[in-house]
Amino acid sequence: MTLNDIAIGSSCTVEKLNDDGEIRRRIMDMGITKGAEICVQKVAPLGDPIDITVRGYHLSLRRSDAQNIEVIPA
Amino acid sequence: MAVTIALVGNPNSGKTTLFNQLTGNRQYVGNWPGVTVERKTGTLKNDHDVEVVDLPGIYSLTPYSNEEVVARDYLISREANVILDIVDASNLERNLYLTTQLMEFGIPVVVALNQMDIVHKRGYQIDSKELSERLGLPVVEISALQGDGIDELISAAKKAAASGQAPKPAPFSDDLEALIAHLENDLPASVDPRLKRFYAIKYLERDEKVIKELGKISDLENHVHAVEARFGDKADAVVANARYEYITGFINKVQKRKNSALSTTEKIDRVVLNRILALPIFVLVIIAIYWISISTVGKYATDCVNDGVFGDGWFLDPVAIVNPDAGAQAAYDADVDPYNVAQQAIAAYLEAAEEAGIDTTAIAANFLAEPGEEVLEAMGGDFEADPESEEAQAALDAFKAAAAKSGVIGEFMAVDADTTVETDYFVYYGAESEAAAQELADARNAEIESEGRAEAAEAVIYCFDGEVEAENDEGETETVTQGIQVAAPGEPSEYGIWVPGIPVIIGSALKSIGCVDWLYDLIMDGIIAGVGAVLGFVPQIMILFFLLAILESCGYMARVTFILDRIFRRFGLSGKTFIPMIVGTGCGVPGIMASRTIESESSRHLTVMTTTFMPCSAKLPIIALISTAVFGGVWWVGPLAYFMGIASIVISGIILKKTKPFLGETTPYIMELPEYRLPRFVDLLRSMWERAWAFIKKAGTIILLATIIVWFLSGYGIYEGKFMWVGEDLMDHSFLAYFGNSFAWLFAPLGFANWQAASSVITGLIAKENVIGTMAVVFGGGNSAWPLVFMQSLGVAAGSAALIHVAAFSFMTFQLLCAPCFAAIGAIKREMGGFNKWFWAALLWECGWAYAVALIIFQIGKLVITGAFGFWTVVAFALLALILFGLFRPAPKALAAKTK
Repeated sequence: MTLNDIAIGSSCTVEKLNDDGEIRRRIMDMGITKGAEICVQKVAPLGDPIDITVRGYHLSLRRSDAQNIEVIPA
Repeated sequence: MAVTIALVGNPNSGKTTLFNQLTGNRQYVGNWPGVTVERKTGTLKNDHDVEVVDLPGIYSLTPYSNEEVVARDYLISREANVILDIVDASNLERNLYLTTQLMEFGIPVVVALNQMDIVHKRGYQIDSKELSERLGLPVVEISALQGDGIDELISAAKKAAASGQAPKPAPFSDDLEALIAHLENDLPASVDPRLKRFYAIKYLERDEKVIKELGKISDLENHVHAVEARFGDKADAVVANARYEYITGFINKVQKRKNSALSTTEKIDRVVLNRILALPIFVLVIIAIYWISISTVGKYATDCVNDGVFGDGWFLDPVAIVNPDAGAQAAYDADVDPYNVAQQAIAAYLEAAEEAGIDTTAIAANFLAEPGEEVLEAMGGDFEADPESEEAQAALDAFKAAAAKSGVIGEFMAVDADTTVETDYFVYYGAESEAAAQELADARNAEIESEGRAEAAEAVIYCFDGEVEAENDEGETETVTQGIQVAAPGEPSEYGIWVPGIPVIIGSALKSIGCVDWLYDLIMDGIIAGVGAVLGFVPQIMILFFLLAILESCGYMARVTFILDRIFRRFGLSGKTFIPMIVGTGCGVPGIMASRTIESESSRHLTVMTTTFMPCSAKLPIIALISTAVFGGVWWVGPLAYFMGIASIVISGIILKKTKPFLGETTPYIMELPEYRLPRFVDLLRSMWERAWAFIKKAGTIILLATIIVWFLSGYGIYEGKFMWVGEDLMDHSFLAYFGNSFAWLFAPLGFANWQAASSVITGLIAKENVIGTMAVVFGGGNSAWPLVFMQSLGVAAGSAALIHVAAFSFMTFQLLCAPCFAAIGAIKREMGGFNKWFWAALLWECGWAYAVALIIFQIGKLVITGAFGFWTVVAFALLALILFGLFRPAPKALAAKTK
């Protein structure tokens, strides 16, 4: 299951990052690392990107990137 | 002791606010991640031996976008004696991630816990003593905004710098530590021993920049594989996990967070980011900003300045602010307006009578406020006008008898300054010519009706001397005096407290000291007309800056990128493109520089090329002029100009992204959404004033110089083979006219091929304020009604009075979209990396786009209004088709694959 599959308002725990390249590094720097708890908060008006809370702050990222984040639903 | 302090921290953690507190500087601050894109240096307010360096905000020391390279390179250079790590206390966990990396440079680190006020407001607890013990670093609580804790911070930083003690790096798990220690031994000998751990970790993360700088390590792959085999994840992920594990190991002991109800930010976001409301709210915010600054409050303020301070003068009258229809100004206008009409009517009627062979000298001398020098000479040196005198009345009776018999009709046109409605007057005297005048007026009205301009023009009859029955605004019939019966109004000071305008004061001062004529003209018709026309827009610009300051500091900007990302991604950009656009409405130079936060190079180039399509504050006077003088202050011209800028960026983006140089990966988008902050009023005022002051200074330097040059070039010229002063009457023979005419033909298809408009395009390159400044000089030469002259010249250039509006709109469009001023062109050059093909492509695209859009607007407008179809109409449709093709053609395969 990936972060993209998590419904709005639900939480999950990060298991692994699958993507390669620079955006993956940035995602980790922003605190999305193994074991981090994520709650999906909102979706932008046009369906993408999504707004999540991780490590106590709000972060927005695209669905295509969320697809590369493997999670375990809470 | 000379000390250098480096300010490092996450984006939007308040570094620049702290920098301003420490140094007393006024650097640009905002509430979105990535305000600072350059390194800035200053010294402490009260200790100039201490240098402070403000670095761009970074999340990590793995350089990801250009600004982060700046920060990392500076730290590696080891110029700093102490690192001041600004930590956003309301976002502690993620901010400490960078702290763990800063601890690896061997430079003393002091942690500044900023934004404690937000923490307290949310009811959180942070134990800074515990944090200090856990990190092994001094921690100081501060509020950069309020200026709390700054002295303690400075002394802690000085103490740390003096000790020079390197921090103990954040410990990882024993297994990872052993592997890192192993790798440290294999590093190239050139590595500074204090940076061994830093470089070992960078090698482990396969940091390309480091590998390129220091060279490859032969068995690096063995080290990396050892780590990946042990932890079952990629090596860089192992390191990132280890850092966050270290932080989560103590974070709950340091901070107590309450799982409280929704925070204020979340409550606001429920509405502002609501799926249905978000886009309409965004559109409303944009309309509100530009509508308020151009059409409403801003227009009122600018009108006051233009008509008052830079006009004849103004009334000190509190009543008018509450009710513009009452008070001294209204009372004065009620007397002045009919008098002005009457004066024009008398002059027009006298002119017609003179042509019919009737002597008008005595009438003109006695009944016109400004009879002209010829008339006064004819009356003799000691003549004094007195309409009540017997001679005057006798002359009037004789004149009226002769005029009534001849049946002459005078004709003139007047334009209402507020509504821009044109009125054609037919001046008659006597019953027979009344009928003839009525016939002429009816014919003119039918003509206006057939042109579809009934809203904008009308024809009426007017009596040279008489009392006529007329309907007033309420529909009641009342007796109105017309022509020479209208009494002259008194001095303005009889109506209220009157303050004369700057031109009046300076003009009379110059006359009283006996200033030579040419200098008087230069000052009055050149400098005051040109610079005054620009300065007159200061109120509108101040209101725009004030509203932009609110927008930038409240936290909405980051939300806009979230709302718009999906749209911008369609052409390979990210929502972050919007930030340079909004910053660019203040000034194009920081707007272009703000593009540095965009990660992908081709997207950054695209953003630099198109950012200046947004009208900057210097272009605001052009919008304001067209919207008020030509379109009578309708509300939509201002916002439309800005949406046209947005549309130009979006359409250019879509078209260009499908061309070869811009094919490339989609720009990534990952963005922190900061807390909303209520901006402090004093900060808003300061931000507004600083930018407005820069505008005023520019008016006093560059614009002043350009205005003087324009005045000389438009005042002197060659007429009948002689170099001479050509003045207003022969201005078409001035040097500026020759210069403008040499390329004015270029603008014929756009509807404004006259030398005045053409030369304003060129002076606009020096600074966009010059567009208005130049036109005020060449059209007005000291006359504050110059916008009307400008409109009439557009009617001539466009070929018909019915085309004035569409030609004016085309003129505005071209001026807004074409190449920006030299300062912004310089910024484009810097961001493109020199005078290379990117730079020239940017200029060419901007000018070409402006020309195409203005041409389409004018030609299609002309087709709709007059039905004229010609060669250029075909060109307009061809260009439109070309744009639509570029917009809708499928993307080349290479791009389609990459952006999937």
